[in-house]
Amino acid sequence: MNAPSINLTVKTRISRSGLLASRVAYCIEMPKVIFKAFNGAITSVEVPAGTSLMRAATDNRVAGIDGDCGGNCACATCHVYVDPAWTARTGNRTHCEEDMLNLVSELRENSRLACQITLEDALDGLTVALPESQH
Amino acid sequence: MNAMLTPPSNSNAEAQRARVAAIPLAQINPADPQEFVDDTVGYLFERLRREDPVHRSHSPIPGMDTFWSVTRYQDIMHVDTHHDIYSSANGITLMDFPEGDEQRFAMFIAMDQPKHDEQRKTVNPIVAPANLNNWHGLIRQRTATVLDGLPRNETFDWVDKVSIELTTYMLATLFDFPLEDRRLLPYWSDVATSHKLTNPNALEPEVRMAELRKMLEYFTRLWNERVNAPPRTDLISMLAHGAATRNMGPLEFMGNLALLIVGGNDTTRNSMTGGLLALHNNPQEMAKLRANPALVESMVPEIIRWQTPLAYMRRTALADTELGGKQIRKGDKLAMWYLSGNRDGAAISEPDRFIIDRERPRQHLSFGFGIHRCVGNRLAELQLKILWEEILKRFDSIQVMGEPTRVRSSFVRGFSKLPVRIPG
Repeated sequence: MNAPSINLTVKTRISRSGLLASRVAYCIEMPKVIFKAFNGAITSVEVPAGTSLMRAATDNRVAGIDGDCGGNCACATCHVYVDPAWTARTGNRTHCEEDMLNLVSELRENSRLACQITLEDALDGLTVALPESQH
Repeated sequence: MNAMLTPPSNSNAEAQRARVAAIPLAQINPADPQEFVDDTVGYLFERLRREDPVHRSHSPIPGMDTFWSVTRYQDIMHVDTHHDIYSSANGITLMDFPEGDEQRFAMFIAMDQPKHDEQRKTVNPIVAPANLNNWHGLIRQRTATVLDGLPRNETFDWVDKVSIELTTYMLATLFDFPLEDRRLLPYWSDVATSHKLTNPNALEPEVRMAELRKMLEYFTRLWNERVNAPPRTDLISMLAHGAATRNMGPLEFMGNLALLIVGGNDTTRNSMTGGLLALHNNPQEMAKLRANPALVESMVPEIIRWQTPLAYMRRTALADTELGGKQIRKGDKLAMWYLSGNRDGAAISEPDRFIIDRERPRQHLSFGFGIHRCVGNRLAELQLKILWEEILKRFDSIQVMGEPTRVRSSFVRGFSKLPVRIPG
């Protein structure tokens, strides 16, 4: 299980008076991700930044993502279709991912393995659709 | 007397641990078929995972010789996912047959990229969701017919009357193979997987090849019928029309047939038997299942982990490399012992217990991982799920009446007999 990641940011600046002022900000970043099931059902979950998209689903019991290999890019049971509005931000498939996507049925241009996408702040609001079934 | 089989005792386990502890480490050979007949190989793995997880093993069987036994879950995952270093092209079993001995068929499971991917993609659609949905009703109907026809109040062989019958029906359906001849399929599967060098009861090599030629002729006839007809959804038609497979030579055709027959036969068949035996030996799990039949869903992957019907897959190193602190040389062969990884406490909690409602039951090695992962995994799960749903609807109890007879093979971990009795 992933513990929530707590980002400790220390911001230092020189004030006009020349005194050193420090401000400590604690923030727990929890990007949101939206899963659209094959039957149309929508589940939205918030997870700590740094969590993989696969874990975001399995830790929250989102049906339709199995993650049999535990995130090793080795089973193709976390196949998702990334909403076209997000594909630029989720980046390119990894080499192992290309290999494993050969196993899935209904391969599309926006097919990805959820274990190869890490949820960061920039992906807050990411929307993905699930295939009819996993390999 | 109608005495039921007593579940295995702890004192037996202690005696086995003492026996294994007394073997010099260098002499431990998990590929000894006798350990599989006696179902004691688990004690060898227990020691290897602890003391020598990547173990140089020697087999007295000619052709098997020296190989590495990879026994821990994570090391197996590493080998299985590094197909660029660990090749499948020299075969998936430890046996290396003499030159000119045509025991090795060209099958896509024993190919590397890119040819593997092309041929595999041709058969992928048969187990795609739409096809599985089509078969759901047919599998349920055939399962019901087989179960309704079982004798009551008399001891019979579960392997023959249920496990073989159901998996054979399924294969005949996949191939659109004449139903009246369906028993040829498990026969050919047995012929293809047993060899004189490892099994003294196997056919003589010439007889074996003659039988396999008959199989080829039979399937060639079906191929010719289908290649000249419009494409259909059965496997032979898919192979005959598929761009990557329609020009296969006879050996390649036979290899891929043998792969699909063995893959769909020796595996699910033994999970069907192994599941029944596991529930018999763990009555508290059977009680859980009866109280909550929805647990079939998580029980099915647990049965597949527990049985691990294919005990290992072989790989061959394409370059010098290191694994678990051992130097692997180019050309060395390795056995990824899925059976051992599936009992590795570092990856699976309480691995020596059969628990039908465990957390993450699907995280097991039985289907392999990486590009060679089992193509028919979902179909296998569907068959097992339907079998248990239909059993629960019909029978209040299935009694195991004696010890199972286990197959003499370190590759196929299975049963040739299991005497049972259904009261009522």
